[in-house]
Amino acid sequence: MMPVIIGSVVLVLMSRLVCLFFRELRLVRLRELYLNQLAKEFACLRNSIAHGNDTRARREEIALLLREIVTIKEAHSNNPVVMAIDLIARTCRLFAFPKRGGAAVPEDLEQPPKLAEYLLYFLPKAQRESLMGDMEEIYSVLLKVQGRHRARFWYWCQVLMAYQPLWSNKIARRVAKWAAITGLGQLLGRVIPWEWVRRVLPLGEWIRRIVS
Amino acid sequence: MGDENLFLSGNEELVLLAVANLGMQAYGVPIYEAVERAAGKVASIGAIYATLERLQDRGLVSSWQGEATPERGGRAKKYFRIEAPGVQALRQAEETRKVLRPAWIPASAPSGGAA
Repeated sequence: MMPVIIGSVVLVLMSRLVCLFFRELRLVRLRELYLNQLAKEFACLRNSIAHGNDTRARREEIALLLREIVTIKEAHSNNPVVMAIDLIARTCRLFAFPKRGGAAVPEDLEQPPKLAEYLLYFLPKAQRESLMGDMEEIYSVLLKVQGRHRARFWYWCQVLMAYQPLWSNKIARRVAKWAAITGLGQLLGRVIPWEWVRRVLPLGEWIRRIVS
Repeated sequence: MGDENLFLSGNEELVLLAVANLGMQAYGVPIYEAVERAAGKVASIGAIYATLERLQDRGLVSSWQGEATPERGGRAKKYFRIEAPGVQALRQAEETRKVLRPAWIPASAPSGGAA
């Protein structure tokens, strides 16, 4: 009788421990997502200040946000249990496939695929920021309407399709610029009477002096 | 014949029309949605930006930085506006289409029923 009671007590305790572990795991994930959200708001305020909306209210908002981020980070970095769970969660995520359905994370906190987002940093600088913002905006809508998998698939497709048009644009522009410079050089070579210029102005002598 | 700088390719015309229709609300997302709705297929937002960049280089549209929102990851919007040469380019495209349209294609969309 005794082993059965002890066994059942151990079983109950272990299941409780597992439940607690998964609850903490979810909290760690939510904390991470909340920090991401705060970081986005921070970037948003910083951008608006950079674009000329530098008011005292905005600076105070930034200070408040930073204080909140630091408080959350400090509160969790001092807790060894949370740190251990965070470490386990990060290690598991390295080897885990994305979960089907994705119901564990609230949709408004879901992020676009990280690797695809990093790939966007290799696009030409001129259009990058607004393109990334637009893609994130459409991604958040698709996430609500069509679900996580389709939204992620759309994001990946867009990233891969963005390379060819944007880079070919940039390359074509560079080629046109160099062609214009070369053409102008050749035209100047024909129009300007260089023999006469060399006779009047000792250009070679000046260049030699500058170099020496 | 019209100015060569005002000649528009199919993509450029579509994007320019979307910008003209959207007025002051023309940034990447509504332009993408309008093009997708008009073309009836999945568009590439990168291709739309490349087209807008070309149009801007030719002076057909102008752009300015808008506000940043948290839904966009704190990134600023880039608004586009059609300029006078852009309007002229659209007019020229319409004229060209009128000139080149064969007689057996009616000017308005057919409403069904053979004559």
